[in-house]
Order: sequence, then structure tokens, then C-alpha cells
Amino acid sequence: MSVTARPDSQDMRTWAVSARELVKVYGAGETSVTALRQVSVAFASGTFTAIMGPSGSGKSTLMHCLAGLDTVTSGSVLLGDTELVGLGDKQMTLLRRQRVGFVFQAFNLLPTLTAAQNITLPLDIAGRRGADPAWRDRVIDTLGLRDRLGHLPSELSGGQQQRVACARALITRPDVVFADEPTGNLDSRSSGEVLSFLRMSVHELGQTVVMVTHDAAAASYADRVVFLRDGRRTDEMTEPTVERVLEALKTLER
Amino acid sequence: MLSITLASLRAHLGRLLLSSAAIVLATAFVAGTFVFTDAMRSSLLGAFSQDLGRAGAVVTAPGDRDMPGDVLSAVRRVPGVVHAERRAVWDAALRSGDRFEPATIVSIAPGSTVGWPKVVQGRLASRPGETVLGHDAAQRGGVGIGDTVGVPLHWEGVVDRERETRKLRVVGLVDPGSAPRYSSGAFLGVTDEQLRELTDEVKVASVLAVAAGELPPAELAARIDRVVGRPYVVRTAEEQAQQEVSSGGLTAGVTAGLLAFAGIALFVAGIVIANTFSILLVQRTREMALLRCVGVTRGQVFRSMLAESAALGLAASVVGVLTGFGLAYGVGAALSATFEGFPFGAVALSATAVVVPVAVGLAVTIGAALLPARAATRIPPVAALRDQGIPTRRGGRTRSVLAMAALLTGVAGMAVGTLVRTDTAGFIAAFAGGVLTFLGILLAGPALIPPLVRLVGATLGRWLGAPGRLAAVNAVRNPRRATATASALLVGVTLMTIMSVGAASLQATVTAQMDEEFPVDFMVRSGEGNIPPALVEDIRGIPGLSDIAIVRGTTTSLNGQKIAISGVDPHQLAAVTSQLPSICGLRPGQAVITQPLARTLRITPGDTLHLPPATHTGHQDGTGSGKGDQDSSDPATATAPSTGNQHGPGNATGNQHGPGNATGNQDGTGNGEGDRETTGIGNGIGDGGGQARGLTITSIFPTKGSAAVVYLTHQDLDRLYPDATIGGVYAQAEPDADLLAIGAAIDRATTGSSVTVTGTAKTQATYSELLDTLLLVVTALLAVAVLIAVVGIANTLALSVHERTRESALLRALGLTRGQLRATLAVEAALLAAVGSLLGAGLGTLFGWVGLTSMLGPSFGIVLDVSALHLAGLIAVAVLAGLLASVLPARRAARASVVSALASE
Ligand SMILES: Nc1ncnc2c1ncn2[C@@H]1O[C@H](COP(=O)(O)OP(=O)(O)O)[C@@H](O)[C@H]1O
Ligand SMILES: [Mg+2]
Repeated sequence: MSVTARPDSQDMRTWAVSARELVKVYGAGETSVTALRQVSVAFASGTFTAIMGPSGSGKSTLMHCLAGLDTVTSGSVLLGDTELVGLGDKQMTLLRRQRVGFVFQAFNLLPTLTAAQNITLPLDIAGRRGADPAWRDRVIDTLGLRDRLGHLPSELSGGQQQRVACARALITRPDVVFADEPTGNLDSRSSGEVLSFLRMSVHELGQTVVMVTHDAAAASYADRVVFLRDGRRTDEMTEPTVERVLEALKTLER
Repeated sequence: MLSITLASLRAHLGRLLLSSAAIVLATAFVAGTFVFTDAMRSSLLGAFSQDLGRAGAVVTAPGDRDMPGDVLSAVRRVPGVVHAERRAVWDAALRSGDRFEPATIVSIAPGSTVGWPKVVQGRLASRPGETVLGHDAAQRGGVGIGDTVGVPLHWEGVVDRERETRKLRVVGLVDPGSAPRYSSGAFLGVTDEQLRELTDEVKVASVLAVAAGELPPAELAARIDRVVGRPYVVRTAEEQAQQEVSSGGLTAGVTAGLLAFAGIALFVAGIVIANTFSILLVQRTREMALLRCVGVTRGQVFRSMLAESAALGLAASVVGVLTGFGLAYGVGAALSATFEGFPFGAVALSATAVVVPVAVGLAVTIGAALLPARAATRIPPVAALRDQGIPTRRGGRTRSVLAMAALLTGVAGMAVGTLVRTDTAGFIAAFAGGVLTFLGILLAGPALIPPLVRLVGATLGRWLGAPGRLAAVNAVRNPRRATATASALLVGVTLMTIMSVGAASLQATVTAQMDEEFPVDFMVRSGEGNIPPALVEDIRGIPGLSDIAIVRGTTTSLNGQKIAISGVDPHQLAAVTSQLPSICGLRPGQAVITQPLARTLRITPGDTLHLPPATHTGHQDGTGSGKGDQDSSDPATATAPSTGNQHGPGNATGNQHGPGNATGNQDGTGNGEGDRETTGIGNGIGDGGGQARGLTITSIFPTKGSAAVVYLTHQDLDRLYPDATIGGVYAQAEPDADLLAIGAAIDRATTGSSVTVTGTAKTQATYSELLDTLLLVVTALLAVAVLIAVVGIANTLALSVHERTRESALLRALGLTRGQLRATLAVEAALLAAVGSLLGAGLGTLFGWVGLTSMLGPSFGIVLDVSALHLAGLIAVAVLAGLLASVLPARRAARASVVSALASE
């Protein structure tokens, strides 16, 4: 167990996204649930990080707070050097639009749009006329989606749908891509494809990916794994393997 | 099962609430109609029973014939009758000097105990030569007790100064109350004897009987009936008033009219609510399938759905009835506050007003649920395990076949109706064809409306960016839903457009026909040709008139036929009209004659007409419309009496061509074919100075009437008929003048003189006012149907928003702002509204034109027109309403938190 990398450390790497003493409380009074307790974490640019923990440990909540999808109770979130805490809905939305990409577990695509339209949807929303064509082609070819562009989501397999979602997340060259259990609904072969691609996008395309998962195999694709338990950061691991991750999880659940 | 129904109702109440507003509105309309007309009726009953006073029974003769005196004596002898009198009503006039005012003269028995009319001052007339006068007429005319008023004898409704006038002395002032029969003009009450001296033609006659003490009216009427018997009708006073209210047909007409519009509103509400049930069914597929899994039968599913709709229909109808009552009272109160004398009285709620709307609302709601309920029974239990809802059935074969059949027969019916000569059968064919075509369009909707939405959406998408493109796709992702939503709007907009197009076309037709005949803005004409020069100056002084042309003339007789001579100043005339080039191009020595005259005289252009001297100088029957003679097709309204003068062949004809022939005698008789020196006609222009009475005919003026008129220049007129008088003043209004105001000013200037004021501007102003009012009322009534359709749009949108919660969340996560999300929904609503109203405007225009053409026939020369402004306004309002309808659903969608929406199932 190594020392955790702090956002305020002297490390000269740039942080794509970082949180400091993040607290998230759902509800108020007797029924309130504290999902995150003083979580501090940072993700370096050009890395692939997995967030792991038992169910209900606050993984999704942390991701939502980091991605500007949800407000935090206290603490601070920096996206690059932009403080998210205190931003209004409109600013958060524009920030997500320009600097964040998403891959969710399910329901990633609009059923009414073709794969190609889904991929360029973020650009469309931003009112930008088309992507940098070279980048677009590179993303599409890397994901092997070239011959699927005209299809509707209902005509694609689950793995293909998730690959389209990945392409969409990357099309704007965001500062960071958040993926919440992106392989949760996939068989192992499709999972492997999607995860390989995420790793490729980090190592070959220079993107930053933060992935929430509870699957040790998925986590093993990452450069680094951050563990959560009961809303707290407990541990982290670099160069994970399936065995090491499973072991760490066992300790966590004890 | 009932508990499941109720639980499901509770669970979906929010989603049903909005659509039930459609039922509320429609039933409110029905209930309001009943309350409104009941209140009108009760007020009219009060007014109509006023003049019966204390009378308990009334005897009338069939067909409003006069009442013989022996009936009166017989009634007087009936036991229990303490007083009976004969009442006759005559529509006459009051004359003061040269002024005539309409008057109603009623016979009132001297010692009447009926108690009507109320004597305000003085006493009732007790002998011939006396009269009572309505107090308001007395006030208007400054007449008091002791003064005399004049009544023209045997008045027939035509101003006639020659007729003898009877002088009557006013002995009392009375208040006849508010009965409509006495509300126009002055009220006079005279003895029966006096009335019969004034006229032989009473309009209504009856015998009124007042009963002694406690004798109930029904018993009184029965006793009288036993005595007078057939053919006389005996009614109690109440029955009589009811009869009079009904025979006017006013309330029945208003009820029928309002109910027709209420029916349209119900139809639209039916579409909206059926659509709601269908959408809810899709959203509840899993729930239904789960019920089937646990053993609920198809029948139970069906009944449960119907029970749900019944509960909803009942609740909504009850709310609707209450709303309707409130609205009817509100509208009634507003109308009676605005228009004095609008009949609107207090009314006890009738059972009809409650039961009918509730029953109808219930029936429509359950009816709308039938098809969705049947679809619900088809959901297989395994659907509970599937991820997707039931696959939406593609438009059924039966539906397309029906649509095609309806469209084909409908279009054929309209074609036949339009081409057939004017005739009720033609209109019925066109009407049935129109209804069928419309039904066909509604049935074909799923094939028609989505492509239209896509088309409009593609255009809009280019302008509105991502929200526009997303909306265009969303609007048609469920074709049935989009179709039903747009169709609901289509109904109202189509009907509104029919009305608008009908009004515009009628207006255009009137304008065109007037332009074709004698297109002058304002025409002041005198049948007797005696417009005083002072009046001409008065008219000249009216602001807003740019040009004045004076027509002078006289009459003469040619070959025994009376013809009118009309002298114009071509320059002046050209300034007031651009449509009469032939008359405006006249030069001295030339004349234009009307077609009928040309035909009888067998004159063609180039011939010479020799005009005889005036028959009676200074009097020109021919110029100006004769009294009662409204031959408007006649330029200068010179309706020369058609004398029936039949010319034999060759009589008075002699077409000789060749210059230099300047002959022609002036004795006005002609005979013999080829007679070179025919009277009246020859050729060549007289060169004998003042003696020459020959004028070259330059043109024949086409007219539809029988007018025999010769148009010539003032110079020739003065030379030939020095005594000619002013018969008409034509005026042209400035381009943007207030036509109604000018018309009123001319009316003021001409009151008291025996002239008629007509003209295109005047007629147009009158017509457009009438049509505008009518259009406004109809549009207001149809607005309810459109409002319901807008509720439907809001409803569809709300339900779709509910369905697309996760989709919206995804879009928000990807960076769609709240504003953009709202815009997406707004554009979706606007698209549906735009397509519904565009299609409606198109169909309405077609139906309006076909309807008018078939109604008036192809030979009528109807000019089809649209008010583009009106239609554009209609579409704009519909689109705006659609935008408004999106506000609430859009707010809900935008407010949802992204995170929780992403998590929602
Ligand atoms: N919208 C919410 N309202 C209340 N509690 C919530 C909400 N979302 C999550 N929680 C609670 O917060 C905790 C963390 O949830 P989550 O971040 O979804 O965990 P994970 O993704 O690790 O399974 C859990 O106890 C969960 O019940
Ligand atoms: Mg989670």
C-alpha cells in the first residue's frame, strides 16, 4: 500500500481532475445518508484509473460529483484548474459539454439517432459544425465502428452500443472521460473489447479515463485503482492485476 | 379487480389529470349551452308574457287570421270570465311632417283590466280619435298629452307622401315593457274601433280573458275551449308565451348552433383522451403483462380499463358541468351588461343541463377507451419479461383501406357537388364529400402527418440547431401519437379556416360583382331626380372623399319605350371609377346605351341615335332607383320601366353606314325595314348646331337588368334637355379613408331627402362588418375545440417527457442545457401544432371553396379568395399555443435532476 497521491503534493504532474475533502450528504435530518466522507483524490492526465468498492460505497456518487453532474455538500472539485463547487447549472452544463465525456452502464444512446448521429451528438448540442475529421475517423476506426455508422442503437449489439458510447465520449477530446460500470451489462468478450479500447484511448490517444467498476477483471485494465468503502477512500494500487485487486477487495469487505 | 383499478387510477392520476381537462372543457361547453339558452329562454318568456298582463287565457286564430267579434262575445259569456278583450296588432308608421317612423299600433279596450300597458301618465284611449303613446317615443318626438300624432291610413310599409294621414290625440303615456314585438319604433294604443278604421290588415289578433278570483288558468282555458272550439286555439297565458318564444325559433336555433360547436369540442376531446389512453397503455404494458402473469383474465383487463375510463369520465364531466354553469353565467352576464336588452334571465338549473353533459362526457370518455382497452387485452403475459414495450402495430390494413375509400368517395363527392349546377343536391354531395374526405385524412393521418412533421422539422432543424433536430425526430418517433395530437388541432383549424375562407370569398364576390356592375364607392341617387344642389355641396364637404361626379338626367320616350337619359362629365366620372372606360370616354356628340335598349332598338356601335325631347321635363324617373325597385345591376340605376313594347322586325332600325349622312327626324316613331330616315336612329352626327339630336353610339354597356339608359355628356344633355335635373352624386373615397365614417356622414347629410345611398364602399363596409362579426363569433366558439387540442398537445408532451426521463438525463449529462432541453420540447410542440394547423388551413381552404361553389353554383360567378393574413394569424396562434402547451412539461423535464433521472428505471 503506497502513499496516496494528494492533489496538493509537490508532484509536478498535471491533474485532469481532483477532489479535496469531498462530502456528499443525501437528504436531510433523520433520513439523511452520507455517501462521501472527506474524500480527497486526484487523477493525472493521460492515465486510466479505476474506482472500486463494494456496492453502496459511494463510487457512483464520487463520479457524479467529479463530473459536475451533481452538487457536493462540502469540499472542492477541480476540473483542470476550474473549481466546480459553486458553479451554476448552466456553467456546469457547458463545462460537461466541452470538457467531460461519459460512458454509462446502460442507456447510453438515443434510440432515435443512428450510431453516427449519437457519436457526434455532443458536438451537435454544442452547435459545432462537425468534428475535426481526422480525429473523428481515428476514433471510429479505433473502435471498429466504420460499418455500423448508419445503424440505430436497436440494431447494434450491447458491445457495439458501448463502443459507440465510448466514441461519443471521446469525440470532443474531453479533459476526462468518466465511465460508470461501462461493462456491467456485457459478456466477457465484449467487455474485453470495450476495456481494451478505453486503455488504448489513454495510452495511444492521450485521453484521461476514470472508470467506476466492481469487477476486478475490469479494474485490471487500469493503471491505478482507488478503493472506496463506506464513502471513504481507503487505499489505492498501481499496476493492478486481477489477483491483487480481488485480494484488496477481500480485505475491504472484511 | 376493482381495487386494482382504483389503485392504478390513483397511481396514474397525475398523468390523467391533464387529459381529463379536455373532457372538462367539452362538457363545460355542453352544460354552458343548456344553461345559457335556458337563461335566454326564461328571459324571453318573461318578456313575451308581459303584454298578457293579468289575462289567464288567450284565444288565437290559426294562421294569425283576424278574430271575429262573435268569438269575443262568446268568451265574455264563459262563466268565470270577468273581462275579455280583443287585441289586434298592426305594424304601421307615425308621420311627422315628411318624416316617417315605424310604429306598432295595438288595440286596447277602454276599461281593460288586463293591466298592460302600464299607464305612466294620463289614461287609456276610450274613443276613436284618441291614442296612448309609448313614453320613450313621446320623449323622442317631444310629444305630450293633448298633442296630436299622425298615422298614415292603410300603411303598407312604403314611404308614400300622398297617402291620407289620420290625426290622433294623445291622451296618455304608457310603458309597453320590453317585449320584442313592441321594441322597434313607437308604441300606440287605440280602441279596437279606431284600429279597424286605420287598417284592414292586422298582423296578430287574439282574445284575452281575465278570470275571476281563484280560477286556475288551465280551468279557464278549458272552459273557453269548450265554447269557442275549432279552429281557434285556446292557451293559458303561460302556454301562449312559451308558444311565442318557441315560434320565434331563436332559442331553438341558438341551442342547436351552440350544441353543434359543443359536438365538435367533444369530438376533439375524444381524440385527445383516446390518445392519452393509448399512450398510458404503452407505458403500462409491463404492469398489464404482470397482471396477466398472475392470472388476471383478458375480460378483467378490458373491464378494468373501461372502469378506469368511466371513473375518469364521470369525475371530469361533473367538474365540466360546474365549470360550464359558471362560464354560462359569466358570459351571459357580460353580454347583458354589454348589449342592452340582451335576453338573459335567472334560471333554475334544469335536469337536462346536468344530466346530458355528464352522460355525453361519460360516453365520450368510455368510447375513447374502447380501442386502447381492446389493445390491452392483447398484451401477452410474456411482455412482462421483455425489455421493450409491445411493438407498436403498424397502421392496420383495414385502416388504410378505409382511408383510401373515404378519400376517393369524398373527393368524388366534392367534385360532383362543385360541378353540378346550383342545387341543394350539389351542396349535399359536396358536404358529404367534404366530411368523408376529412375522415379519410384523419384515418390516413399516420401515413400523412409524420412525413409532414419530418419535412417541417427538417426545415426548422436547420435554423434551431440540436434542439430543433432532436425535436423533429422526437415528434414522430411514435407516429400514431403524433398523428392523434396533430389531428385534434386539425379539426378546429380546418373549421376555422372554412369560416375564414368563406367570409373572404363572399366579400370578394360581393366586391367583384359590384365592380362589374357599377363600381363607385358611394352613390347618392334620387328616384325623382330632385337632388337639391345644396345637398351636392354638403356631400362635397364630407371629409375623406377625393372626387365627386354629378349625374344629371331626364326621361324620354322612344318608340313608346320609356328611356332614361343620363348626362355625365366623363372627366369627373373617370375620377370616381376606373371601371367604366366606355362611359368615361364619351365626347360631345357621342352616347353609350345599355344592352337591353340596344337590343330593342337594334343598335350596334357606330350607329346614330336620335333622341326625342323630354317627356316631362325636370322629372326623370329613369335616373335613380325607383321606389321599391332595387335593380342594383343597373348603372346609374336608371331602371326605365320595361314597357313591354315589342318592336316588330325592322321597326325603328335602319343601319346605314356612310359618312355625311346627317339626317334623322325627331318624331320618335319609326317603321319599315331599311327606312333610311328612321326616327331615333340614323347615322352620322348632326351638323345642324342645336338642332341636331343625333348622337353616335360608341359602345353598348352590358347590364344584367332591363335598364334602358342613354349615357351622354353634360354638354349634349344641356343642349338637348336643358331642364334636366340632378339625379345622382357619385363619390370616391380617399384610399385609406374610414368608409364607415363617410357612409355615416352621407347618411346624416341625406336624412330627410328621398334619396338612396348605395355604392361599393358602403356595401363593402356593411358586408365586412357583418361578416367580421359572424366570423368572430364562430371563431370564438371553435376556439374551445382548438383549446382542447392544445391541452392534447400539452398532454402528449407531458406523457412523452415522462417516458423519456432517462433520455433527457443523458442529454443533460452530455451538455444539453436546461434551456436547450426546454427548447427541444417547445419545438416538438410547435412542430405538431404547425403541421396540424398548416394541414387544417389547406383543407379548410379547399372545403370552404368547394362548399361555397357547390352552394352558390358555378354560374353564380363566385370569386374564391383567402385572407392570407387571417390564415397566417391562425397558424401563428396555433403554433404559439403549442409553444405555450410545452411550457409545463418542459419545466418538469428541465427541473429533473440529472443523477436521479439517470438512475430511474
Ligand atoms: N439520490 C440518492 N438519495 C439518497 N441516497 C442515495 C442517493 N444516491 C445514492 N444514495 C446512497 O448513497 C450511498 C452511495 O451510493 P452509490 O454512490 O450509488 O454507491 P455505489 O455506486 O458505490 O454502489 C448508498 O448508501 C446509497 O444508498
Ligand atoms: Mg453505482
